[in-house]
Amino acid sequence: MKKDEKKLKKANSSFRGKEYRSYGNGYFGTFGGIYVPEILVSALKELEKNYFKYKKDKKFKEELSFYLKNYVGRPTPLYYAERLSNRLGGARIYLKREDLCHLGAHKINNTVGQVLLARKMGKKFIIAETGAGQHGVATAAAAALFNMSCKVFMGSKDIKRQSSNVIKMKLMGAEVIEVSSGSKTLKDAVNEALRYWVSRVDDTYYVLGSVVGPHPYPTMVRDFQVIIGKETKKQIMDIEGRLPDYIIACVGGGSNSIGIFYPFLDDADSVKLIGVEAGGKGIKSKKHGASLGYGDKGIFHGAFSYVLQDDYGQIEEAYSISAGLDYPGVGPEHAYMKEKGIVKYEYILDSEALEAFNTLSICEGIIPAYESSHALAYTAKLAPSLDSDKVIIVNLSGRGDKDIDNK
Amino acid sequence: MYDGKDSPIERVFKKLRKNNQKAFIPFITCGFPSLDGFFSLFETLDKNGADIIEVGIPFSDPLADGPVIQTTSKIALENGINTDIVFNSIIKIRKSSDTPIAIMTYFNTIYHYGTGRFLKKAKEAGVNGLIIPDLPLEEFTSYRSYFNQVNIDNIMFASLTSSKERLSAIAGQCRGFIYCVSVKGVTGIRNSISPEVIDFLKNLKEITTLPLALGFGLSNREQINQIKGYCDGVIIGSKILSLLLEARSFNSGLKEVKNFALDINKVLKDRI
Ligand SMILES: Cc1ncc(COP(=O)(O)O)c(C=O)c1O
Repeated sequence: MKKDEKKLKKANSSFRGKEYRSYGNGYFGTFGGIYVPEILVSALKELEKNYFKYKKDKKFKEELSFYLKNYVGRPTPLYYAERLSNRLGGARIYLKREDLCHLGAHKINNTVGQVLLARKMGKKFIIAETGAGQHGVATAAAAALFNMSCKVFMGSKDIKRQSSNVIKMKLMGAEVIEVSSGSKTLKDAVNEALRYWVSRVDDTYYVLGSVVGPHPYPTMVRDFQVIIGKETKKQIMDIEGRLPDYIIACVGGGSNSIGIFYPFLDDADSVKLIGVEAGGKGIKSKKHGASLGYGDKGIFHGAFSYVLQDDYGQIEEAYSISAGLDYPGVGPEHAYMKEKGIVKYEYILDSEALEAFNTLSICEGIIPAYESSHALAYTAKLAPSLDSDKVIIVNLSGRGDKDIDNK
Repeated sequence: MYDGKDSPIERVFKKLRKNNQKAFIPFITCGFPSLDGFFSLFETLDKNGADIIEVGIPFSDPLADGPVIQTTSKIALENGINTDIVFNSIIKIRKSSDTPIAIMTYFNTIYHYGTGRFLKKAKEAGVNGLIIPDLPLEEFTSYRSYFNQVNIDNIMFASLTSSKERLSAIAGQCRGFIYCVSVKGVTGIRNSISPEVIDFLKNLKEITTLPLALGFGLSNREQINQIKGYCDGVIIGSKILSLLLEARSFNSGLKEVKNFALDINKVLKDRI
């Protein structure tokens, strides 16, 4: 281990729970940071300053809750999936229904927050990257809502795979910019959005879609997604009168998972937190998206975290049947939680996710997103081994309509 | 160990300053258009006026770079170039040239190799400076000791958006020269210079005595005539690489690079 890393690690070894949560400088242990070109540093500092200011601003908070309630449709239900539980035979399974958010995924929690912040900061233009198109659609909607001009960068491969989301973004007034550099997918869309931002830092706000990228994005996006976990905690106490035994969520960049895990970090001794990455066609095939499980530490898209890379540190392409998990990096806070053992990270294969997709549709009449199907598939493995007095909560991060075309 | 003496890069600027001349610093990607082609390109620039040569280790996700360097990086990677091959290439070059070399690469390439190991190997190969576009001041601080141990110049960036306090702090950590970015944007060819660049360079001159080299977007003698009175050198990459990318054949491209280098260098070496 590098000497400085050791030093930092020692200094942070006591971070856990509350103490660790107050750590708002962009580092999670040694992970995180702002590994970006000098020209972006001032924009990130401006964003950091404004974010921390408005985060505490009463009016901002009121406006945000207004839109979360009346536009996004929060709170989302915590639903006891009785038929699924019976079928799997074992633990009682609850679903946090983020698929019922406006536009069908948790992504909108973040985009409404960030676009509202952009407006407060006096920015005129919104840009975003998108892979599957879920974050692009959610950004386009928020931009329409707050009457701002919006450009979404999207790899040409993804534009072909996700044509209905391209149509939706355009309907809501966003311009979709085709990215044909590199692998023509999400990672290149982020590169291109960052390059564009470098040239327009003065009047443009970059809405990143997950808990990745340079500080303050991992902290800010987490904060906007924590509403998922806060509601869940209250709901399970109301229904069951106790905390769950497990919380299971899929991990792409890591925003829906950290959103639901975060309020339970203090309870991590009794509540087991499990993040599920994309195992794709199997780890040995090298066609997967399991950055935490099988990547190495490294610097990617502005942060120090885990990333899929070759022997010389060149970034490798990820693969997953689910476009939202098809990303070679992962949020730095997850890297920290992995290292501390606060969250356990597992993976699920394409084939297992597909089976879970079918099972939930048949049992409950709920068609889950392929991403969320990974969390469900892990649940299907775990639940039968547990007694019926155990409670599992699955974050159902999105609905699966978007995946039907590709089935 | 860092010994406080002028580095080879700093000596180049000192010598030029005495004559009121400016440094010509071309950028090329190792392994582009091929490994042999890279050696020929290096030699052509070395023999036709380059004072310092910036050599890029290609990276898969070069986010500070525009289309030209993205393309040359991709080609170099497809040619199988990796960090060890770059070091070996520099060892080979060092048999016949002592022109200072600065390596440009993204930080993951260095971190993954092992920062200490990378710097040691670079030093042994004969590298004089390192330019890392995604390692700003905040992050560099944790790695500074590695640089001092091997006495390689850490060349840092100053941008049009950096505050005055920041520029002072950068100047305090930087060695060799300050890489002044002339545009709000990524690398690539532009045809003019924004007037704010001159104020930016003037401000920097008040803050530091380090040499200032201007880069990103420089491509013609008019631009260079406009700014040469305010800086100590210019870095030109995309323009040179595009001459090769667009050429009918490698040899005709190389000839164009030679003519371009001679022409630019004349502007830089004509006393003001
Ligand atoms: C429904 C859904 N779930 C999960 C993800 C993965 O992202 P994250 O890990 O940031 O929640 C996505 C990303 O597009 C998504 O659309």
